[in-house]
Amino acid sequence: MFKEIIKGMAITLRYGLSRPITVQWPEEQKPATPRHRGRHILHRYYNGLEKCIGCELCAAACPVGCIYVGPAENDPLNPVSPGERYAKRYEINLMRCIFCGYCASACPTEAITLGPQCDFANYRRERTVLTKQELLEAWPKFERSRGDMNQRGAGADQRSTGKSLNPGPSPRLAWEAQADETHEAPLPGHGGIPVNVPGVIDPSEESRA
Amino acid sequence: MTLSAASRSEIQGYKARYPEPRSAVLPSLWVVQHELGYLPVPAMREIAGILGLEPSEVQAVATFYSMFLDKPAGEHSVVVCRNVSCALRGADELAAHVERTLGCPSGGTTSDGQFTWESTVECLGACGGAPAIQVDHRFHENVTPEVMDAILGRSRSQPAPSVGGESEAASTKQRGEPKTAPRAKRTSRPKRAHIDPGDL
Amino acid sequence: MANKTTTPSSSEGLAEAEKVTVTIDGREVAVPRGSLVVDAASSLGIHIPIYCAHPKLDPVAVCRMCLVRVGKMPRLQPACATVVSDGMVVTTQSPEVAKVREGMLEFLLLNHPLDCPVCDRGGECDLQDFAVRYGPQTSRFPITQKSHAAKAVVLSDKIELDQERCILCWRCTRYYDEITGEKELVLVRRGIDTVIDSFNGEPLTSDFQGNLPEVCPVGALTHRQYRFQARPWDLQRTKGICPECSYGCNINIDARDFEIKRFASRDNPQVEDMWLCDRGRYSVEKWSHGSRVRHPLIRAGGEVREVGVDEAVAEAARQLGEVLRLHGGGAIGVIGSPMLTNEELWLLQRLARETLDCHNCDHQLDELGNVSADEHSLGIAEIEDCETVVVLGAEPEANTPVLTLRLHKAQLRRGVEVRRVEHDASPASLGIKGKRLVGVIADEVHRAYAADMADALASGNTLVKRLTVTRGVNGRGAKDMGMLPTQGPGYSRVTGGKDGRQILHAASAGAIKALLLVGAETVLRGAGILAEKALAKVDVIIAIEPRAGIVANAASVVIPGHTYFEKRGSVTNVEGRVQRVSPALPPATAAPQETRVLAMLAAALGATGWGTGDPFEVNTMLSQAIDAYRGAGNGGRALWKRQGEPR
Repeated sequence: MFKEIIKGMAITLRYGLSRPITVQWPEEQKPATPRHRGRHILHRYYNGLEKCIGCELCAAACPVGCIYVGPAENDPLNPVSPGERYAKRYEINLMRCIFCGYCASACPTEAITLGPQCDFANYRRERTVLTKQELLEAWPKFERSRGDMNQRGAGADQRSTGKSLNPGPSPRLAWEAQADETHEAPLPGHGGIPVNVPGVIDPSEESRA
Repeated sequence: MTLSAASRSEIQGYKARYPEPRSAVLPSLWVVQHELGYLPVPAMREIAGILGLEPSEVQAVATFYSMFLDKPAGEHSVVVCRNVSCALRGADELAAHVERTLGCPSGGTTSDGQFTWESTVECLGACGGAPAIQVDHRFHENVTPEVMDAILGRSRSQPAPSVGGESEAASTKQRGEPKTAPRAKRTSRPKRAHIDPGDL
Repeated sequence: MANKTTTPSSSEGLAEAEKVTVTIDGREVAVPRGSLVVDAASSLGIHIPIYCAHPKLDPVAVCRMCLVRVGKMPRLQPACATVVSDGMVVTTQSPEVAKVREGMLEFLLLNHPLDCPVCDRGGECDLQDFAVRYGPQTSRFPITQKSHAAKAVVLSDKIELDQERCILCWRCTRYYDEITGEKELVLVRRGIDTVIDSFNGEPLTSDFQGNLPEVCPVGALTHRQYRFQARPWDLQRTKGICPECSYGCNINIDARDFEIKRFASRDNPQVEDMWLCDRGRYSVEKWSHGSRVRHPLIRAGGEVREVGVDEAVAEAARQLGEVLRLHGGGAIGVIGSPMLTNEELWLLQRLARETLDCHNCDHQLDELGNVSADEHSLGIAEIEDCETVVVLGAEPEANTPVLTLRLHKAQLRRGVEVRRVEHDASPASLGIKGKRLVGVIADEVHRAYAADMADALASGNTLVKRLTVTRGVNGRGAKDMGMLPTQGPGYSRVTGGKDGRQILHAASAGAIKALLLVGAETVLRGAGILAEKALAKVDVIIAIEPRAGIVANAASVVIPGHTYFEKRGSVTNVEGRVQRVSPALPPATAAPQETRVLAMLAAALGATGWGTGDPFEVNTMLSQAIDAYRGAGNGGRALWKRQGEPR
């Protein structure tokens, strides 16, 4: 019996003298793993337009119903996101969220990902509902740096392409730029039509001739 | 009013000819195109007014047929068939030649307003003489770039022949046989002009 | 047209129509001769995907989605245009049919843009649904080679067109052809370039454009008002009745976040036949805005006090009781509104006549003498059975726009002669003789002309039925309930009182000392300066009012009311059809519904036997009091005995 006590105390001693694995959070931070599913981030394109188009597929995929999206129509001259639609309101209730990442999987534009941040403790209940402004990436990025908050989180790597999507001009803008030719077939280079399509003769050349 | 009194009365005549005024849309559009050279929006509205239809119905018919023009065209129309038979016999080269010669792409009008040409038509039905073209609604078969140049050069110097135009309608009226549907001739295939390349 | 079976007809011949037996997917079914294969299949619960066919439109068979194997026919036949015959064998579930459907969907999706995430139709789109159910899993064509057309074309201030999403099913052009007859949209150009467009791209002017997005099977035509407002799965749907006029169109009220987002049609062949007018459909925004009365208020000596409902009711009863004691019931005026439910109106007139001994009660301002049940003997669907319909003036169709569509349908499908004449047209000049059934339609202001016209036309075998278009959603119900100065419930004879305008005149002259106003804000606004004078003069104004305004500002006791979409009850449409409404929105106030408040008020004034004021309980009581309402139930017509017949 005496022998067992010594054996046990030896283990205690051994661990007592080794380096502790406890991290002194929040003074000390551990790097998050690449696919860590923490607080959500709404991303932007390189030109500052929001990736979110307000389609509400994240809200539809959400198993706990913690996402609220209030879509609205883009002002073609001052668009918030590429295309016709954007999210005017985007709210996530972190009290309800189970961080499953379904929203990121459902997103057709890779607008939402789950980031590295996981400390949301708060003294005020209403602060746990994140608004769009809080979720959105800073723009321009240097203006309001949030460190590695802006890194791409879980969900981004679930895509097969890995290429960043080119937002291009707002299709509606492109259409209106054609002024009185709205009822004509689209010109190459506009409305998402590539310029170099073999076999297409640009009818605009004719009008210039 | 965009239309002349003569055209208006001609359209009235067509309206009386058919049990349904809708049936008169097609000949009425021809009347307008012959008078003005194309179908401007006010003219379509006027046809609708005379026939008691909605303007949209007239527009639906006018835009369906590619031979109705929605903007002023050149003096002469040149149509190059590029369907299978003609393509096999060098219609693509011919079309490229026309584009080079006239200096405008298919569907365009030359800067001097002489020619409007297109190569996006469906089969002209002259596969036996491929490649076939139509200049001012007249057929030319076995066309080579050289023949093409000759035809274009000859057309440039003279005004476009009227195709089954007012003269025919007038003669119908004189004969006083409005029920024989003389317009059928206009839409039927024009006479073919067989041109031997050696003659040119 | 002859083989349409979708419209129930009141003629008796159809019930005994000859039946034929067809076998669909191995199951036999007997359907009336002349039915279409698709209808026979749906009676068996077999779904056949279709884009171009629409139950209210003639078949055209252009979308080729519904091709099925019919007997030994060499090729597949379109189910939407094939008429059943006896012993026909139809196969809808075979590899052959599935392959054709898959091919057809691949073809439709060839140039269809992949913008389902931003499309308003996403989630309730036939193309999406069928593609998932019957379509190929992948496309063989690269996305970069899709042909493009104009997006977000503004067709009018109400409708937006996305030409890329259009699958050219012709439903919108046929809607304009067959339902409204306006032909504003047509197919322009041909082949790959075919698009739907208006003449020269001019804005649409129809009053019935809102139906276009509903007939569109995809997201090509969308509402501008509902643009990017919500996703179909966000919406809470409540069955309701359109609030804009007294036609009683059945609607689905789609609300999100306690805000009404859109009105969608709810097919009732007897009333609106699934077509709504733009005035009704786009009146949505009215109901989400405007300041509301949220707490009961007592106004005394220039001070406004927020109180509980009990206290407000007690104070109202005290003030009314005092006027009643000092000046009698003749010094009280009661004004309701045609926006109230039958239950509220019935209780209100009962409170006025029984408890307050007051005969000055009305639901509107004008003098409507000698109203009778005869003036709405013509049912809406019965218009199609008439031989001739006479419409007096432009008001009936201006007040209830959907009536125009019913008249057009009657003209087009049943060959009814529709005569639109001036109010004072002489019956003799119309030359209507020897007809079996003639309809006379007028609005309620010109009732007298309609009565004269009906009397003059009725002769020999000619039966004349009248339809009077009332104002306000429950204008007919208000009259049935006896919310009239000269007639009681069921058009019974009562001691005459003052009508709406007379009440206001008397009030501003000082003859009327107390006003009881229930939802009367809009009615009083119609009186302009007269209403303001009356409200300034009278000291005792008891108002049950949902919205802030001149009434709530002047009243001595204000009890918050409920808007039309917050309450339970029933409303009666022009033809006397009693239809239930239930709350689509949560109430903006904690105060109980008007029926309960009225019952509380009656109890506080010493009346007994009023019950709790629960809308269903009140409904039971009023059906017992008014014979015609007993058999109406929910959705049936209140049928009145014709004048002259023994009651």
